[in-house]
Parts: sequence; structure tokens; C-alpha cells
Amino acid sequence: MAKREIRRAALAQSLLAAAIRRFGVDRAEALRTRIEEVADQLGDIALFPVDREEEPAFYLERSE
Amino acid sequence: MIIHELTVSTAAAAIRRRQVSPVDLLEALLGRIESLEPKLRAWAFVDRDGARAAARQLGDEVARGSLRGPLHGVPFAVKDIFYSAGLPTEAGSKVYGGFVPEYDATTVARLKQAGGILLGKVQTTEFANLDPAPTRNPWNLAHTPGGSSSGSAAAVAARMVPVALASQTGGSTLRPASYCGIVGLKPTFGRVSLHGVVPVAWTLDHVGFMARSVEDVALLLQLTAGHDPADPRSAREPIPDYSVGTDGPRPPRIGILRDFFFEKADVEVIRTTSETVEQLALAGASVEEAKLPPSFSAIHSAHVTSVQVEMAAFHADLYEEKAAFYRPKNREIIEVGSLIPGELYLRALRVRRCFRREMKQVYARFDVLMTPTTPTPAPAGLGSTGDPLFQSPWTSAGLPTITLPCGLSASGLPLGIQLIAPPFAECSLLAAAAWCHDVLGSIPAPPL
Repeated sequence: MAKREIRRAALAQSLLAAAIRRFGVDRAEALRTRIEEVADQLGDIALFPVDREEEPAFYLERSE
Repeated sequence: MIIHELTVSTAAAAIRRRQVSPVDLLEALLGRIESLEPKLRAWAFVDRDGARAAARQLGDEVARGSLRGPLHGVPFAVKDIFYSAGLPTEAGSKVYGGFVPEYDATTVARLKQAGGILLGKVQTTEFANLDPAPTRNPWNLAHTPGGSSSGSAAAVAARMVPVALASQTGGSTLRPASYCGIVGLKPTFGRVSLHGVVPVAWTLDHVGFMARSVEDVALLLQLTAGHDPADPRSAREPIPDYSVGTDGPRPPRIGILRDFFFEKADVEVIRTTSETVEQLALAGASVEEAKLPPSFSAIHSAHVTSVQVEMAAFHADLYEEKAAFYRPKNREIIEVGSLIPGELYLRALRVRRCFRREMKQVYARFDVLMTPTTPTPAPAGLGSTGDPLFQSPWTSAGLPTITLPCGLSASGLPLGIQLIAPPFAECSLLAAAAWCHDVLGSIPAPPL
């Protein structure tokens, strides 16, 4: 399985487990579609190469 | 003179010259609202009494030769996430049902100080996010006007008001402006204060302006830009003269972004955008291809992640008490947003910063970049406000953008082009937009 798909699946599983703990099985199941979408998005972010020195864009710098 | 067709600039001039009184202008707009509102549903609250009292007062001042500012006597509307003292501010949600703030948002206060008349609050999607407002598109009532600034776009397009405050966290100013055939401006992040605006996502929210001319949105920016100590995001950059005559409209250097945008757009949008580009090139604009940077591949995911986490954070306490009052899409976003690991949220912010930095190389050779504003004309149905796909990258990077109408689709719905500029380059963005708007011309009013 490609690295991206492995990561995405792991994220989806982790989010679903967290949803079950927080909201219960029924609600977590109702959230499954969104969870899958979010897992996709988080997979994109997790695998995008970010330089170690790149800081978060809190209140983006004024004129760069 | 058809009074309700007056733009902000022409109305303000007519009032100064005593050709139109603030009372006459207001009553013309109220008449328009009365006849069109039952089918458009653009307004959350119309402050007839307050606006009439203000119009009388401002009319008396004109008679005495006293003008408060460039907006003297001109009505404006405000998206219902902007605090407006003494008026309901419900953010399109039962959660805020009955809330009446005691103070104005900074932008509302600045427009009043300039002599503007707050006509009322226009509809927003719930908390300026995905659950739609009841508003319909003035061009076709069976179509969405877009969102989240649904009422702002519909009210301006329908000539119920010459200008409206809007906001954008993804695409919520430019998309509805394009769908409704008007001009929409989103300034640089931090250029205009967000104090007194119900947040969607703190690192993404921008105030926006909707009007029917570039001159009008430039004026609104001029009146509202500038540091606000009450807003920690507020920039201290100096405020230049944004009036479009300053730089002098001149043929801009335009970089067309075809990658991604032309792949996602439908055939009609591609054709219209291409024809628009040709028209601008024939009129003297320099047009070249521009290329997206590598970080673009992750920017949409970074944007959505930021929105979800920050929405979940803002609503955490309210959601504990009032979950049942939230509409379904917001419920999902808040619940799933609360599960996203902090490390990945921060990585999303780092991706956004990387994108903003990489974009410097892309726009270095150009005055503005250009894309279609939306992949399609306004979609049919009212269950969705469309997709912010074509705006969210620029919102994520805090870059100033503007949409201009460029024609009508075969089905009679407006289409727009989006111009993007570097941070705090609103002067050249507005100059380029004014030049393009002159070349392209206006589209007619919707057939209401």
C-alpha cells in the first residue's frame, strides 16, 4: 500500500476511535464520511515536506 | 436619474451637490426592499426607523453645508456577523438568537463616522460557514447566491443597497459576488479590523466589501483600513490613497494561472475566461502564463484543517450548552474539528506560511495574477452555497483579491474573473481592476 494510503487509513482509524470515545458509536458512525474526508486532508498535510525551520503562520507576518 | 441605480460614489456626489437627499435615496431603497425581499430573502433585519432618523439628520446637515465624510447620507448593509449596536446580530444561527450587541464593530463605526447610514443586517449562512441562508440569487431564484455573504451579494446585485460589508474565511466574499454579478474585494489579512465580527477562524477571517464598481470598494477600503488596537491581527502598515485615480488605471501585467483552475472549471467558464484574457490583451494588458508553487498541492487541505480546528475552538463552550441549536454541517465541522491533533493543525499553519512565501516568486513579474472566480456559474438549488476552491488558497495566504463580472453564462448567470495581488498591494490591485473593469464594461442588472 502506498505511504499516503497507509497514513490516511491510520488517521481515519484514529479519528474514528476518538469520535467513538467522545460522542459514542452512533454519532461516530454518522460522522464517518466527514472523518474520511478529514483523514484525506490530514494525510496531505502530514506528508507535505515542511522545512524544520518553517514556523506556523500565526497572525501572518505583515509585509514579507 | 434612477435613484436605486446610483453607486456609492455617484450617490455621495449627488448628495453633496444636493441633487438627491439622503431621505429620497433611503426611501427609494426601502421601496426596492419592500418589493423584492419576499422573493430574495436577503435581509435578516431592516432598521427602517433608525435609518430614516439618520437620513433626516444627515439631510439637515447637508442643508446646513456640513458633511461628516465621503459616505455622507449613503446607506450601507452589514452581514449579520458584524456587531451593530442596538440591532440584532444573530450570525444566521439560533445559537445567537435574540443577541443584541451594545457596540458597533470597528468597521461599522468607521462607516457611520464617514456619514454612512446603516440600513440593516443582511443574511449570512450559519456562523458564516456551510449551512445555507434562505437567500436566493437575483439572477435566478432557483439558484444559490453563494455564501457565506449571501445577503450582501443579493442585496447589492438587486439594487436594494449600493454597498455591503461581507467577510471571507474561504471564499465568502468573492464567490457570492461573482455568482451575483457584482464587484467583491477581499483586502490583505489584517488590513481591515475584525473587532466586533463573529469569528469563523481567527487566522483566516477577512472583512470584505461588495459593490457595483471598483471605485466603490476602493472607497470602502479607504474608510475602514488601518490599525485597530482592539484587533490583535490588525496591521500597522501605512494606509495609502486607494482611490483608483491615484495610480491611474493603466494596462496591468497579468499572470494567468491555468494549472488547477482551468482543470477544475467547466467548459463555459474556461471559454469566457479565455475570451476575457484576449480582450484585455487586445486592450493593452501584458498577459503571460504563471505557474503555481509546489506548496499549492497541500494548501486546500491546510485551509480546511485550519477552519475546522479554529471553529471547534471558538464554539467549544457554546457547543457544550447548545449543540442542538447548531445546524448539521456546523455540528459535523465542530465535532470532527475537535478531534484533529494539534501537531497536524500546526503543520497546516506551516504549510500556509510556506505557500505564502513561495507565492512571492510567482507574482514577482506581475501586477496581478488572474483566475476564473468560480469553476461554474451559481449552482442550482439552495442546499449548498458552492465551493470556495478558487479562493481558499489566497485566503490561506492572506493575499488581497478582487472579483469583477466578465459576462453571463448561456443560462443567463454571471461569471467573474479573480485578480490576486501581493500582500498590502491593494493600490495596484485596484488600479488593475479598474482598468480591467473599464475594458470589460458592466453587466446589466438582474432581470427582477
